[in-house]
Amino acid sequence: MKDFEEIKRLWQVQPTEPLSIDDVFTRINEEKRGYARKLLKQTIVVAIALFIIFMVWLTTTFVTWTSHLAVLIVMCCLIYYFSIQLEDYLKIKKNAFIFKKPDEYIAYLKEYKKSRFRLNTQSYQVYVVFIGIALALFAFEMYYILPLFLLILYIAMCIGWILLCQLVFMKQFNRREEQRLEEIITDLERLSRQFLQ
Amino acid sequence: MDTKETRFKELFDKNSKIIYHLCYGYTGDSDSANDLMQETFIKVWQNLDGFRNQSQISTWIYRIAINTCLSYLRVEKRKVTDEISDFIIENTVEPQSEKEEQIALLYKCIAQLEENERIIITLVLDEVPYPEIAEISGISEGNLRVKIHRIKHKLTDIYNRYERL
Repeated sequence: MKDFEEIKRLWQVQPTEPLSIDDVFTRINEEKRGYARKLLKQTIVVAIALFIIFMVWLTTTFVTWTSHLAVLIVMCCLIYYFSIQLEDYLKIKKNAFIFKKPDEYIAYLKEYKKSRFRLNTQSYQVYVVFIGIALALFAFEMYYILPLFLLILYIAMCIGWILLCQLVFMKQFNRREEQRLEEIITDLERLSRQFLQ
Repeated sequence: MDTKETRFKELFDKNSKIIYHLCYGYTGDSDSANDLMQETFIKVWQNLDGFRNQSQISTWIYRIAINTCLSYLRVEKRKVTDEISDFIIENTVEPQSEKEEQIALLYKCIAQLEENERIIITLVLDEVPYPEIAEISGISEGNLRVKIHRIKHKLTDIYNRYERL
């Protein structure tokens, strides 16, 4: 039979072999490099895309002014997308919410969930509308240079792609993200309830 | 070494053992405990500049560790219920000596407790002051004392029950 003090003494003599601080610094540096690489990759992809669109814009003689506007809108959409990714990356990297009290942490996650939902629905709708406008404006150009059946095919593919993104990919993405955050919130709420019991 | 690194090193030396115990008590295996400890200190490093002494820095570190444990268990797709206890029992390292056997048994017993009880008791066993534990868990000190009393009894009962087997 042991009392609590004996258990405590047992606990305190246990051999503990946590990692050394050097291991932690190695991981910190790896993570830093990983984040930097990811950000650099995204920046390069967006920069290349912008450059290609810009070169196409400069070297192509468009028949209608609507094509110029379409290219401009697509470039703005790319920059908008990149700025959102960058903002989110900086927010995640900062991680300042992690040291909040349990109830504040839960409140933060709920707010974050709402803001992600807003971003994935409202902001995405705005993005889709603008891309849709750009594709529609470009259809005028297509009208002058393509045979009718290709023009119809172009319009059908554009509509099909937008619908696929809207009804399949976006729904899947939203469901996954909502589920992920909901799990964290449920875990924390359960723990919080246990503390208050 | 610059000031941030010196400060971080001091914090690591002072708290790493308790954080390791906390993570070990929560997950029940040494590798996961090391992963979580590392994760916790990475977050500490990332936020060290932003910390403005709102409360004791150790309180802040323990809180990060708890939130990290929860997120880790979610990522690992393990349900934080009885399945965790089974996981802990299955993954307890084969003891070498009598002392190690007793310690392994103690971890088995901790695994029988509820999540919040595991967190509280590991901090109590590492002699973290009560006001600090109350601050970490977000409950009053009075409420905490009642809980600790109950958990101590529960753990002692479970331990003695197992030891008799």
